[in-house]
Amino acid sequence: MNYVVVGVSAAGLSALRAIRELDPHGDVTVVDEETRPAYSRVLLTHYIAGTVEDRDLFLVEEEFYRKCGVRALLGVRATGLDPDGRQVDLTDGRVLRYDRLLVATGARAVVPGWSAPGAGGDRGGTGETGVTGLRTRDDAVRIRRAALAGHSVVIVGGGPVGVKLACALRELGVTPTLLVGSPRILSQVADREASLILERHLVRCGVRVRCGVEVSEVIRGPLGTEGVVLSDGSVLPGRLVVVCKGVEPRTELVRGHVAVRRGVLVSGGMQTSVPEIYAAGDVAECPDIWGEGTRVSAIWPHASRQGKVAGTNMAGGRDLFPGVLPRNAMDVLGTPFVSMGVLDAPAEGGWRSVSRRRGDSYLRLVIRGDSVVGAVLVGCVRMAGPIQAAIRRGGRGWEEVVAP
Amino acid sequence: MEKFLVVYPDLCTGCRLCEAACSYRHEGVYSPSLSRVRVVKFEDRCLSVPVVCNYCEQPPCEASCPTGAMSAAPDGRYALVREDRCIGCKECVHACPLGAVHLHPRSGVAIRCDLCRGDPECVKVCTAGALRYEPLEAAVREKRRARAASLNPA
Amino acid sequence: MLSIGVDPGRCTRCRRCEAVCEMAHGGDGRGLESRVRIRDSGWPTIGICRHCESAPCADACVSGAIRTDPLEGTVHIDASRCVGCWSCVMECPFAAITMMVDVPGRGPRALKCDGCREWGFPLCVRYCPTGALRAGAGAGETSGRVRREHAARLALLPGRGTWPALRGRAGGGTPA
Repeated sequence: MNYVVVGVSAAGLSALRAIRELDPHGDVTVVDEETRPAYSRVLLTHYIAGTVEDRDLFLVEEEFYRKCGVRALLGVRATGLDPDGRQVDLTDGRVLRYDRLLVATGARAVVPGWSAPGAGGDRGGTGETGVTGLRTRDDAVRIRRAALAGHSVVIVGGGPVGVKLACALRELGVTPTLLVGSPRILSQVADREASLILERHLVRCGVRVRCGVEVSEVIRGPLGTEGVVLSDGSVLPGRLVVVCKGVEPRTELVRGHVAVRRGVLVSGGMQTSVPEIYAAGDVAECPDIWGEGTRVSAIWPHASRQGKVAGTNMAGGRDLFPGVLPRNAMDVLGTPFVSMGVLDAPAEGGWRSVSRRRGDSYLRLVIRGDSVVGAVLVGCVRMAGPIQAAIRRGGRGWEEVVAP
Repeated sequence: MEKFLVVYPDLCTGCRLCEAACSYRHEGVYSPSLSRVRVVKFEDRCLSVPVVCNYCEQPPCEASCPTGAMSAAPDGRYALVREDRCIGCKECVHACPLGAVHLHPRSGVAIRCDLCRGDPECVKVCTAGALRYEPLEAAVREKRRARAASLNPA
Repeated sequence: MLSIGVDPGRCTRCRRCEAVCEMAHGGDGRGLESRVRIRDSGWPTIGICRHCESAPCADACVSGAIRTDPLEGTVHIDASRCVGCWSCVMECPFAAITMMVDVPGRGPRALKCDGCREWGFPLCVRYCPTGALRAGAGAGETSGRVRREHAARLALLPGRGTWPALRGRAGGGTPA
């Protein structure tokens, strides 16, 4: 059996391990545009803060692929797919044949118009100043260097990545400015009360937060990037602008060959509409745990699990992904924050919230009927795990979990 | 009428054909550790006792499962283990008072009897009649009759 | 993998397990080093790691700090790799992971039962007075033991077993 895995980050790596667990001798080739081995994207903000060293970002040693008997084509991208001929074209001119293909190409950072290279930002540059995203190790290296050099940093985007970056920079002693398009930070992953508690905490710790503003353009001067013009007309100085406006699945390789919506549509076994082709990780779109609609949920535990499922099934085993449950956990400058599931309870009948507030500790459950379908926890997050388990098993039994 | 796997331990000869048939049916190999029915032997007493899921009305294995992996098929009749949900925490193993739930040694997922969805293999191969697939009434009726007979002086 | 069994019905909340775990892990008596937590009300009564075969904490760990160690039979947290991201706390159905905060010089660090590797046997289990905590070397040992006990009861009480589905010699005669 001939396996090809395109992309070896969270999903590709766990797929690789699952394949080798069941098939120690099959031919396995991995392709990745990064030149170094698999690293943890989630650790990038910790690297920026200085709590994780560069060498600890990597999940495997350089020798890992060779020790697994896997051919690793690093620094190479897959550019074309021929599903009938079962082959993949690479940037180095090679053509790889496969019996089973895993597309684990992940997602790219969203590039708003004003930040694109031609629009005045020098996105993609490597200088200490300019415009960048935060997705790759190269991005993180650039941001850390800029911060250590004392350049002012403007973060655009109040989602988890933007907030984590703000915390990391604060730990470095930098005073970043966080620009949020929504009326509140973490609008997609927190409820109003949690957002307020966390924003107050960030501000108390020295992060400047401005909500309800977008960037309209980057200001460049003789020394390079000097700041941004905001949607309200005001100007904000800054030498490094980091765009954290979400990600988009990288589906180009399979578009036109398999069913794709926003991401690559997959079954519970992570198979695409073409049986020999699987997809896993940030690129995949699958049903949620309630079986209601499909979505892309680009978080690390999903990618890990999906990769394991895909790899197991590719190698002839049997595994099933239970569906996505969107969730987040982070440490906001010493205050833990966890959220999961459905957070907006409609006003109509059958839905209700149960919440508890004690100082800056906050817990809220979203209940549909008798079942918990979502939760937000700030400060005291110990019961996050049992609440997640309750959500997964149909939502019952939550009363005992949150008993005071 | 609902049927259950009824165990008649005094008829068991300890041949373990049930374990072979069960493991083959579910796992494709002959391997007692993969069988849902397990025969326990007491060599000193020349006794062997098959142990299998009793299909409790209020199953402790299901109550103890944090993820809902221990559940039933949609019609509620056959016990299922949802492998996509099982994390191998062994709560069910500890909770079952019979020792009828154990873990698949390879996958680490819980396994228990699903009555072969209504057509149990172990019963087919048990020549001793120690395993039967019959309504509860049938098993109880005989006992009731014997008890009544023991009370009747005539 | 190590098979930790919890029977909350037997737990009297005496907290001897917390005390022993604290001491075994070099705590100073404040309870900060205890990897087992007793709740006064609600579920889970006893928050302790089950060393799951497919541990959700290990799957979710973003730094590879949590690994399943099949040789030791435990799920182990490598403290040097932990970055305190709270992901494992979010995943554990048993609330078995606590976070050690205020560690000088570094951020929060996840704390979880390590199976008392250095002690040879989980001390909380050894010292639990009621048997609310049990341990076996593996699931096979646990189910095997219970199965044997159950089978012994069946063997001892033919025809008089609590389970109506059983029939034995005292019932008389061969089955229909």
